[in-house]
Amino acid sequence: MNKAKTYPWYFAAGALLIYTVFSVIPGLIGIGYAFTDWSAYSNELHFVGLENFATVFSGKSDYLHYISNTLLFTLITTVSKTVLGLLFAVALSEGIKFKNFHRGVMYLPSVLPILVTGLTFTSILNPKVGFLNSFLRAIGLDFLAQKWLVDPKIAFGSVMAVDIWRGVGYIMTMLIVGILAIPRVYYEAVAVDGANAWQRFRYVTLPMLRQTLAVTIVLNVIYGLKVFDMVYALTNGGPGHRTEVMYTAVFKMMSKGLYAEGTTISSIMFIFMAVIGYFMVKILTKDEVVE
Amino acid sequence: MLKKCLAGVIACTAAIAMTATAFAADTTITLMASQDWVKDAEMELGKKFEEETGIHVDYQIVPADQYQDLLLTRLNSGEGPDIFGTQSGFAIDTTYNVKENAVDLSNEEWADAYSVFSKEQTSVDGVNYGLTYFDTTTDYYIIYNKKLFEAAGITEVPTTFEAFEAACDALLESGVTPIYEPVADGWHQTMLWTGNAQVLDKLDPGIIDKLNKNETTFAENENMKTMLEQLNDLAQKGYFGDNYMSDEFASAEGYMASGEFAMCELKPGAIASIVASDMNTEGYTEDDFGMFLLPLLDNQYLNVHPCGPSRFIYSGSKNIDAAKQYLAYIVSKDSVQYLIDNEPTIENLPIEVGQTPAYSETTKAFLDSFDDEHSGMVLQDVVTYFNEQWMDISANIAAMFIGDMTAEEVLQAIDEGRAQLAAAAGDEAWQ
Repeated sequence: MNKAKTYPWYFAAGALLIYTVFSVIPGLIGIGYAFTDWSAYSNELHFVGLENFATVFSGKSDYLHYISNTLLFTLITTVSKTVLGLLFAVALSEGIKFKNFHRGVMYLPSVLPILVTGLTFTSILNPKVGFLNSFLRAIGLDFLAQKWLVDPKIAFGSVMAVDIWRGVGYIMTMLIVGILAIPRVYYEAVAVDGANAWQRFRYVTLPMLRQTLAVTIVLNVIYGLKVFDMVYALTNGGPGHRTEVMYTAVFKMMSKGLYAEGTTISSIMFIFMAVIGYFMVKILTKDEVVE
Repeated sequence: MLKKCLAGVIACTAAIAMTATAFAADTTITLMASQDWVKDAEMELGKKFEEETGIHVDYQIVPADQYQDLLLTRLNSGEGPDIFGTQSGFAIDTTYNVKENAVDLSNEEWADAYSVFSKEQTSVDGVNYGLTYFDTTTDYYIIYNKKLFEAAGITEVPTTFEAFEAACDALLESGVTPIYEPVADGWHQTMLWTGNAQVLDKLDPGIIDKLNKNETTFAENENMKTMLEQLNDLAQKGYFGDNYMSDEFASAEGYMASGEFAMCELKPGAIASIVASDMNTEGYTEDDFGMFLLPLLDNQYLNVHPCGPSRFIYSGSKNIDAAKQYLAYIVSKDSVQYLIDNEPTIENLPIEVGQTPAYSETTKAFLDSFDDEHSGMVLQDVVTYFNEQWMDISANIAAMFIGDMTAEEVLQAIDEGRAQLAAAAGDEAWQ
């Protein structure tokens, strides 16, 4: 690397300062509050040690259920968005008419505010008067009409499906950019060797997309772990507590004035996400060439 | 030069003064409330208020299942609306901390006209912080369709749980869904229980006092458990229909008018709305509807509920005077009468300004059939650290309906929630 072309460290000092003051320090203070009994009901603050953490992991409350829901949401949506996003990206990269139009249509859901999407789908998925069931009944597919958001067996699946629908266009767009950045000479070279479409994808596109895929996967995982608004707008954690995730629990704790419990869960999630994010980037970019 | 400077200063002062005047004329106050707490007639009053004062009222209506979370988040982050709505009762102190979050309204002009019972529920330490703007002169009762009952061969309103289930079976057989139960809003299902729990104190005198002194728990009480199991029974036997988990309160009157459902826990004033509904294709009249108590645990004690959606002025508001002006406007005699005359679900308000209430003969006869001995306050008005958990309890009851929790677990969760809130509040009874 040409050191003459690198910028001095203090060029980043301003950004680092702002990031530290508004993000790192409040985050650390938040972690500190997790060891207290901070609440809206008392002006006094006492150190309670690991009491709040013990409550979260005691199994008495439903936190373990919320943790497993959060992990399931993360796994399913990350895999689905990545696979579908990749399929659409490959399909819409070349050789298709009106590809910009198709790309726009696919990308559109991700620019809508999540709450708007959630509220719209609450109406669409209403079992009695919603558009989806009305449509299915109109074309004679009554047996497919479901209680999408209130049947405990399928409610969480419906929430994940809406989230995948919303997020896949964004991932597709990132991957299209990655695909278009692959030098054409590689494709020309394998074409000379007689490679078919699958082999071009398997031996050129996929390896060359590795870094872009790493970024999209990390983004999806982090998004999944901190999902809140989509669940909040669609089911608010219901029916019962079937679709409750960690951040809907945090929101409910904070809004009940139980700040210490809320910051405890946030702190656990923060540490978990930082560790997961670090190792994922390490693993996904382990063969990266360093100049 | 001096003249120019002076002219500049005068011009600036004039501009600032004009701007200030413009702000005064264009003041907007925000009023945040849960769904169904602000009636259309009140919004009309808001328009008249704006015409007379130039103060615009921005009504921010939030879905019921999200309201408490959102309001508390805004209050706790110091971003409260000018006027916020919340249920009166213990929670205004323990949850909403009105001593810090709301303005003292004890000396407002309307204070003397305000019902003493309602004032007690909006006061903390003798200071009144709120105004209950809801018909708390009646509560929610089972409103039933007499014609559908007759068609199903039910000749008398049920007064025991056994008779109630028999009536539901008869209705089901006649092709009618017995009860419209809007679980989707996340609050109504709890009221079915607590609004009929007056019987608990009659069966076990002193139970409420013991609960408040932490000398007993909900989970220990067999009557509580039986009540919840009976409630669950109604769901499991199909009396709520197929879609109760997604049914909404806003549609209750329409579905009652359609004749698809025979009963719903509603305020008496809802009868007029049912009859006036576009979905009333059967031509039902007000005489076709009556009311009775849901006999969970054979309860026959009238539910009295002075607590209700109330208005509080946020202490951090920049428009406190304008907000006070708005409250004074909506409790004037003309405004109260306008609301009663134009909002079928409001038959009266807990404020006496010379208005004429709109109680129907059915409502009068029903209320008169209970004396003080056969009346009692609803559970959420008498038990501490309960109303604060309302949405959690509702979610847990919904979880019980879908088989994720038992009645005992719902009660244990209430006890845990009470202990958590009491500990946070430093309540000595829980130390």
